Amino acid sequence: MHHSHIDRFAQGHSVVHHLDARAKLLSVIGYTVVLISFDRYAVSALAPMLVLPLAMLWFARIPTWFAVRRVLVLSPFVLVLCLASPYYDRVPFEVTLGSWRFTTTGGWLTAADVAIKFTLGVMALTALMSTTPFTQMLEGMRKLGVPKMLAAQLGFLYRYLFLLVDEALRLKRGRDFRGAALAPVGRRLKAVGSMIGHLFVHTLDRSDRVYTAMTARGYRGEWHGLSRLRFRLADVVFLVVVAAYLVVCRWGAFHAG
Amino acid sequence: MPDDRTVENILELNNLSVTYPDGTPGLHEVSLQLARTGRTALLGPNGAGKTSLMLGIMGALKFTGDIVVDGISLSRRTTTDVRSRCGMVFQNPDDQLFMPSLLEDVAFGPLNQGRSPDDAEKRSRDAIRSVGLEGLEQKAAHHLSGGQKRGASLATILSMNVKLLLLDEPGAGLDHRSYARLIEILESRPEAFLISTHDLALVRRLCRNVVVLDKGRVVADGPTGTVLADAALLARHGLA
Amino acid sequence: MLAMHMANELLSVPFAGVTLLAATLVVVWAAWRTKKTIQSEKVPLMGVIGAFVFAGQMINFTLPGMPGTSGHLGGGVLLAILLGPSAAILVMSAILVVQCLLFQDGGLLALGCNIINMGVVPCLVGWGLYRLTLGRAETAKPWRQYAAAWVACIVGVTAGAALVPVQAAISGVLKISPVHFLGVMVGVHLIIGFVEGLITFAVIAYLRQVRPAALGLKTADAAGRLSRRAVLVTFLATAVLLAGVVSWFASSHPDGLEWSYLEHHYGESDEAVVAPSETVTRVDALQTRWSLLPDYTKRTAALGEEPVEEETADEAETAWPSMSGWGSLAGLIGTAVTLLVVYLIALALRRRDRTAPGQA
Repeated sequence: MHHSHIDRFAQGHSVVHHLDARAKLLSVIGYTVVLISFDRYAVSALAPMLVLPLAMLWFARIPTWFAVRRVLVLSPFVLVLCLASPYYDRVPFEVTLGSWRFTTTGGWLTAADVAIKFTLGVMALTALMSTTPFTQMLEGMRKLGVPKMLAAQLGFLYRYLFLLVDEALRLKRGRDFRGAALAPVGRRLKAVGSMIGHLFVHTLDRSDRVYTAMTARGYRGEWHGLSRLRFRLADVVFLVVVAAYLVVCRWGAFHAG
Repeated sequence: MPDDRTVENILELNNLSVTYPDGTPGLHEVSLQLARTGRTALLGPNGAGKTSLMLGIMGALKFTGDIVVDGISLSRRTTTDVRSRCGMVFQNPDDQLFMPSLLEDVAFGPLNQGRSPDDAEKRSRDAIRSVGLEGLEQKAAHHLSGGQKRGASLATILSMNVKLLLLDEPGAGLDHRSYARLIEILESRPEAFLISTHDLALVRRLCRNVVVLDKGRVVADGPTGTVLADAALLARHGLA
Repeated sequence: MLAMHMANELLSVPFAGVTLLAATLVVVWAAWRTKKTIQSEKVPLMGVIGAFVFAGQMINFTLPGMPGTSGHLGGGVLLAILLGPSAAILVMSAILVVQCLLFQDGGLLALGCNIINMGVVPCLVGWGLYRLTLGRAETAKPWRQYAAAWVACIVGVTAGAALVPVQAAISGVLKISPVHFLGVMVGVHLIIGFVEGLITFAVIAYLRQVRPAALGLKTADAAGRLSRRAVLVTFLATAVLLAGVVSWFASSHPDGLEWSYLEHHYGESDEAVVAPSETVTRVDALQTRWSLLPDYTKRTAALGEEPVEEETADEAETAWPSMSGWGSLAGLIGTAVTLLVVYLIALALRRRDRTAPGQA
């Protein structure tokens, strides 16, 4: 699987990479909350919100196109909202920027608003995940209160995700090479059922073997984690700066009136 | 508890028999001994019971007979104790590397043994270094090559400071370089080990003794030179 | 293959918070219940099953007569059948979290809704209907197994999908007709549910033969043939449902245009408004009474009451402060300057790191 595109940058080193996972997670959650709290028509007020995700990406040396490309895997809902809003919302609006004014409809503003918010949200999430190894993210979540067993589950999902997807792709390729597209529906369906069923049986057997490996290394039901995250001054500073930045963006002077 | 120093053998199996859950017989009255610094190869055709023998020693299968590891007789009560003294490297590293990062995988054992996180981390880093994977601590298993995964599997056991290593076909599927690296590592280890393998060259290089299993029974047990010189024996059991 | 997860933009912050809380409670309940059926030390292994679902979603099924389109497994209903509803909810939640974080499928704030719509509802509803329709698992014939899978998937998947417009409407952020939205969601998911029913049945049939223990059965089935008639019947039933949705959608409900004009009370350069039907007036009245954020200003009347007309008109003029001139221009310029400064700092750091190669 092209897991490289997810993990690729997470193992890097930079100022951002070295920030505590908790600080980054809380910042991005706060950012997303503020982002969504903007009025539907307040498009130009979104401009300053560009700064955080771009800053994170730039300082982490992650190519901007990489983050933007993730946006292109469009959410159908966002697409629909963008395309349908101009149809439904025909209320005219006058937009002024300095002394420049033009007229548009509420629907177009909504479309722009949704598109921009979506892009920013995805960029922020990408910035978070490509500067934090998943295992650190899990530890951060554990320290923030997520139960250990649930975090462990996520760890296993992450670990075996790529392995199983590769297996599925191999099965699929085997099927495709054998001319499956030409088979009648019934046989095609049966093939899909057996491939997925086969994967399931394999997974059950694998989890049995993993359980044996776990108990062989002393596991008896208690989950112990390594404790490697340490909150430092840089993390506190980061959180304070982001909080101030979000306050300024949301309630700052560029909202006239 | 007998004093460690007076116990000669790290491993003693007496009339060990194992039956699988579905009723098919696995091992039949297997007896063998492994000295504290012993290095023994376990040979035999596929299905002979080599993996079952190792799983049995690890306390993962129901058995009759005696299994004594480092002077401790394996029973339900002593399972955890025994698992602190011997470790098994599985045939398929993907079954054994189940944590999101290498460091966490290697630290899993020591943490379960009750070590503090800092202590566990230190032992893990040492173990990772001893198998030559230094620098890869943050990598997840899907980032590692086949040879690296094999080394990682070994590291997960080494960090537990066991006295006996059970290696199930460690050389399988490795390219020449990784294979040579593996042999180097094993040669330098102080622990006793039992290696299940088909590779006679590896046996000659690393092991002083050979035990041959076929259909769940021991059919030969002796010094490497002697056993491997018996061509008829090897042919009879599909080994050469 | 587009991801059908909800995005943040469909929700308001307070409502997202409510759904996140609700989802958390359900997941905690599911975890508690799962420990009764699966030993607690094996719970982390559910993650491996979660990986299976990802893998299963890679196997696509091309529909006959529609080249280029293919369906694939969602997984909620199948998991519920294989693992029981509570374990299935747990696994689906883990999957949705990973999809959000690693693949940016679905927004962070929408996680609560996604867990409910794509996890809790299909798992519970699907499982319940499956067991009801199947009857005794050991003796169920292929057509009945298939019918059970079909009902479970059609209803489970569609019910979850139908919640999306409801949640968006409650959030008050929808600028498109919620009724139209609902129609589209239900229609599309009837088709998706039908395909999922086919795939789910196929997997269960395979497992009945090869690993009946996975389904809690003692003996293996002989390879049963699914009669064409059963498939045809369900196909027709689905088509009928779909037709019903389409006609309901097209007939008595307000044109999107009219709906939007009534929502906003300004009208300087409007086109002529068509006289609205009674349903439209009622829908609109309902909306203004219950919307938490009518027209994106603070609610002046208590929830459930009609807001006073004049107030809404007045506030409308100050409702979009960011649209008035110089303030927003200043904001844009300020942002551009800040970005430039940040970029230059980042560049400088990069160069410094390159000249000191020893630094990690």
